[in-house]
Amino acid sequence: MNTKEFKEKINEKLNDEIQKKNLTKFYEDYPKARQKAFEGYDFEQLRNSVKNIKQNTVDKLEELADKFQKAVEKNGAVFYRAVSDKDVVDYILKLCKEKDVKLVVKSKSMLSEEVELAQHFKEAGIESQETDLGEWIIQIAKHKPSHMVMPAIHLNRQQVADYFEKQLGKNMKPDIEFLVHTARAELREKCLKADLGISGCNIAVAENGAMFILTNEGNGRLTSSLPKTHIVLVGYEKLVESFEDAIPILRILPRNATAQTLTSYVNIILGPSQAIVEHTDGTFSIEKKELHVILVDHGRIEMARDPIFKELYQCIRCSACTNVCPVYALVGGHVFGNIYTGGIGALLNAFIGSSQTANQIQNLCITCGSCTQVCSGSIDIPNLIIEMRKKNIEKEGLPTIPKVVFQNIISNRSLFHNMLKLARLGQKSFKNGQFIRNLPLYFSKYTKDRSLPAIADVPFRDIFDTILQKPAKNQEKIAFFSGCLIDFVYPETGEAVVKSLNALGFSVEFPKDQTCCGTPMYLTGDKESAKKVAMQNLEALESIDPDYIVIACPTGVEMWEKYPQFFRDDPKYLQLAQKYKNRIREYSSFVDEQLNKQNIKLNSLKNNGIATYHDSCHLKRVLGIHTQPRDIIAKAFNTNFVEMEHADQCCGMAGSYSLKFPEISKELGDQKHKSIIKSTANLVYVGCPACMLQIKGLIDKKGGNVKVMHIAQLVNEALKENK
Amino acid sequence: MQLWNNKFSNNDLEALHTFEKKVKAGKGDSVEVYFTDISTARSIFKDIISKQQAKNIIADSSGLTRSFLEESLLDESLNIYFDGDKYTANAADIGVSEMEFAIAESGSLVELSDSIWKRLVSAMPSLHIALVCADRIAKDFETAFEILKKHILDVAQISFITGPSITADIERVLTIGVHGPSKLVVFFIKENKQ
Repeated sequence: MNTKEFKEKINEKLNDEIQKKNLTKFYEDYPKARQKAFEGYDFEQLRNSVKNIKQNTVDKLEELADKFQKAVEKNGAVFYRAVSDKDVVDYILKLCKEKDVKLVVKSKSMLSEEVELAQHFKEAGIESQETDLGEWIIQIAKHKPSHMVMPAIHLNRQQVADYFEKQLGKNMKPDIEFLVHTARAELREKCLKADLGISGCNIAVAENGAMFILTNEGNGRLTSSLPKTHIVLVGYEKLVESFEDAIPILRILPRNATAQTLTSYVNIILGPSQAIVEHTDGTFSIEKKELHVILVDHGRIEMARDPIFKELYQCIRCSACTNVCPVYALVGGHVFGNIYTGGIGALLNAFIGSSQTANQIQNLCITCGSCTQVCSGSIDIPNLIIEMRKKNIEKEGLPTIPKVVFQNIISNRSLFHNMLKLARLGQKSFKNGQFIRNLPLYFSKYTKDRSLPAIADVPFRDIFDTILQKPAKNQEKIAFFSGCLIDFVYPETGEAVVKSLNALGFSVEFPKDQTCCGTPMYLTGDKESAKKVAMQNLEALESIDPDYIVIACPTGVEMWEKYPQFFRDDPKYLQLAQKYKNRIREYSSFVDEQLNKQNIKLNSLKNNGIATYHDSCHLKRVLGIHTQPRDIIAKAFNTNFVEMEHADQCCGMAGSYSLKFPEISKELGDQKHKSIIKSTANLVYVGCPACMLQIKGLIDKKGGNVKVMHIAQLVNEALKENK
Repeated sequence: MQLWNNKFSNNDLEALHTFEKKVKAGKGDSVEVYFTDISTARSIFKDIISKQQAKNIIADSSGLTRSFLEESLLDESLNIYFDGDKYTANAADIGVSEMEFAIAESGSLVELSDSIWKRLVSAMPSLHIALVCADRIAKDFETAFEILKKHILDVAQISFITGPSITADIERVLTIGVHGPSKLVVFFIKENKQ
């Protein structure tokens, strides 16, 4: 798919009302149901076990694969290792020929989708029948799965009825129970007649060869029981060392996937059991079953050897990440994914699927981090996505425009800052009050649904010297690192930061040589440019050697914390980066700590109205800061502080994401706007200047009597009369 | 052979309640759980047969199942099969089989199903009657896995059954009975102390 086609597909899905309805409902229902399912269990402890079990698998991969092979063979099954997708297909087709197989029944296996088994059966003239209801629906609809656990979630009952009608040549009514029973009758016939059953496997135990198959429908039991021959497809990542290793997986997988205690059926296959064979004379006999186990590589060994991406072995395909992904909820798995869906799908596809697709779909990840909160294996999906972007840049280089901007402009501070100042003049013809309402060129889409802020007349760096600071009570010296947005767009926030910190008894300095923190370059994978600005910032800070560096922007904090990574081979800067990493303080948490420590009361701001708070993705999920800003707001607003619905859902800004996918950004913006209006608040506080930009723009464009401010502005106002 | 090890035996009512709560969770009235002596169980079974207008019953041939079916065997309107081919299994209205033990934590029944027939008994009819000795409830997965591990090499297939066959593949609406039973009735049979 080229970019234009991809964009068209996104728009098509954004306008697919049926999918949208199904996904929105699920997105709303799932978190509550999931939480209930985990009652009485320590989720963090469970997922830590899963992580350790799978890390052990990676560490001992070959050893476990050998053990598994020995155990499977000892149990009496035929074992085969497939390197490529072709190996898998060839083995199965050869076996079909030997056994004169005419009809195959399959229970769910992502691996079979991955190697496009159904297509190969078709070409070989063998009838293959999906038995999982969702898989069967998409088989006859000729779709790909749009979700790993619920493959047909994009369709409604009417569409399913239409597909059934076409397939079966019978009249169908759009009644779910009726459709399910039609499927039962139809699929039962196939299961009885089939010569071969194929299934996937959720857990493969090295020490005894046990293979766990989890299903709710019971099709796994039928496909493994009724046909004489059974093939189990096992990916290397399914291996675990000991039998008991299955326990935490059994506890976490159904709860995270569908909010169930356990699937209705768990089959543990330890070897070939029996099969009933009917003879032409009407008699039958009980014979030994033939069991084949195929252990599949298809990129998995390379994945295990990758020092970064081996983390993907911790994925147990529960799809919880997809279930909480705000982008998935908007566009679904046909756009965001390819067989393996969502952000994890993009990553898996890079190794075990279509790597080209992977590059395209990984762009859709908004890196909000919702997935990391629920992942069964504690995988940091957004971080891996960023690693993947970096890897691609190393391979293919940056596209021209960001390359020029990053390498020639932003990494040269005076040029960059002069350009920003010039841009202020250039924007005049588009400016309308505080917002730019129309911009030429590719910015046009960006401003259609959200106003862009104007670059401030006087940047914060030129205001700083005019701020009168009281003498410090506190000996500790603070340096304020503003970041570009506060410096050039929201200088009033910068002012509030400095004045409020001063009111708390600190003297604040602003080293003028500071520049862009490096996030834009780092996120697009341009490590060299990011490193260059990091050096400038470290030097700027070293000139005053502060006790704390306070940053009022979560991505800035994150970036500073990553600086040591850039200088692994440069002892001088590494020492600086580590020294300052420990001195970084995020503004709202620092202030909350100081208010409590110094026992300072905030003045009531209740007369200002009703306040609400928006969680920045990075502030909440990356830095883990969400109680402190609320504590501050509650101190000033007391009962006038209200929570909006989905306070921690991404506002749709996500840096340059809103430029890449303005359509998706708009949808997320719409949802945020709705939540704000519904909250009845007239003041929205945020802890992140990028969120502030997005939300201010939303309110400006879509309306609402709401003021959006950084939490520093609250603190500054509530400390003012204390003078 | 039996998996159950008497060292785990108990008459723990709390475990039974946990089992019942877990196996029924979110599945409406598609699961029934009884804790009773065998004669009461037989009479409940009789009611089920007449309510379902069942004609064909398939069953495993364990001692408990045979004893449970004693009275039904005398009923001439019923066909009861203790073995057969796939089509016999497919035509059955009810399947009756003994489960090795239950797991309270997850509300699961553990079926030792080396025998293909036994597996079809619980997998194919619309109604599955599961019989379990009342003292065979393992508290959690750890206990269950300890029991299973000792016998693992002797069994080719083990199933955990946790409710009827369900799907939510169309619009996420929970629908019962897609491939297997649409109803699961569990009898914990208390020993007759004479």
